[in-house]
Amino acid sequence: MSVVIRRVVTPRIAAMINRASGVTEAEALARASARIEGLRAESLAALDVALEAAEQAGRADPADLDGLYDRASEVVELAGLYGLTGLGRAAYSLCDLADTLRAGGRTNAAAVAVHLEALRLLRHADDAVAAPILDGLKAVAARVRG
Amino acid sequence: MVVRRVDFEQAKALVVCSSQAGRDLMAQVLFGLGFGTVARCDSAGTAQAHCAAHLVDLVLCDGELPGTDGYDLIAWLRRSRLEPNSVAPVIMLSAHTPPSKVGKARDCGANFVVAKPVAPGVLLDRILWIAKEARPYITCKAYVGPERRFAEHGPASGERRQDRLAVAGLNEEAAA
Repeated sequence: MSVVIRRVVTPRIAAMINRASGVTEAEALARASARIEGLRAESLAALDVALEAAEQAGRADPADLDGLYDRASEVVELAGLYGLTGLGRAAYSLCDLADTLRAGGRTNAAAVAVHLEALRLLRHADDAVAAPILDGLKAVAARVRG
Repeated sequence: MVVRRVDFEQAKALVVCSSQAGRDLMAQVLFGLGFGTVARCDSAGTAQAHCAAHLVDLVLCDGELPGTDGYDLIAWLRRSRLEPNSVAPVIMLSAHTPPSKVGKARDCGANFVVAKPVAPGVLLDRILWIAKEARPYITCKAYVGPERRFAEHGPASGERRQDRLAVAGLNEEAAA
């Protein structure tokens, strides 16, 4: 019979809440948001590097699904924080696609290419035009999943 | 309405993420929330060395790391006996959150999974939740970490996809 030990652990950060010192939650959130905004230029530059790397990976070897997945993951994170919602969703779809393909030991160069094209279009597109593109990606993903 | 104050000036956080942009963003969010110290590591190996040498009060860890991934890193931390670091709150971050990954995060001993992009409000909600939750800490042969079956499933506000998945996973486990 295995032994199970249960105990109560109080994290140190528990004692850091509701102190008279410090800042209100609203102030903390405003400062955090300001810091994200302060990184806008660097983050969008990193986003473009990740997009370029994803394109190169997809062109050079559509079977390099780990590389595509990693680059698409970076795009999800950076696009979403800076209001590029459509781009973030397309990148999430590429993560899904790469994950589905590698789980099944498959490749699908056409589906990868469609996603990369969508990322390129959505980088500078208004989110209003994103809906039909995202619908198209959804249809591609559904076909790949079978 | 109660206005809570937070004072994380003495808190030491660790961000583990392979992408520099991701590390910088998470570190800046934590500094903005008031954390006094934020260490940044780009791999499981450097994070292990950091945990062995420095106090850590909160870990933000990306699930996808080169080599040893974030889930294995947290499983290692939980079994490391490096107290108090081994019982420190852990929030797993993931840009892609299929149910399989939420399950991996739960089983490695993380407290929460948060989907990227991580909005400051969502992160602060999770930190406050972890600080006040009374979830027992379990040590047994198969698992070390916060109890995986718990009655309350997290902050009411800002519920997102990964939370619903996490709850679904926990309910499945409870029913098993």
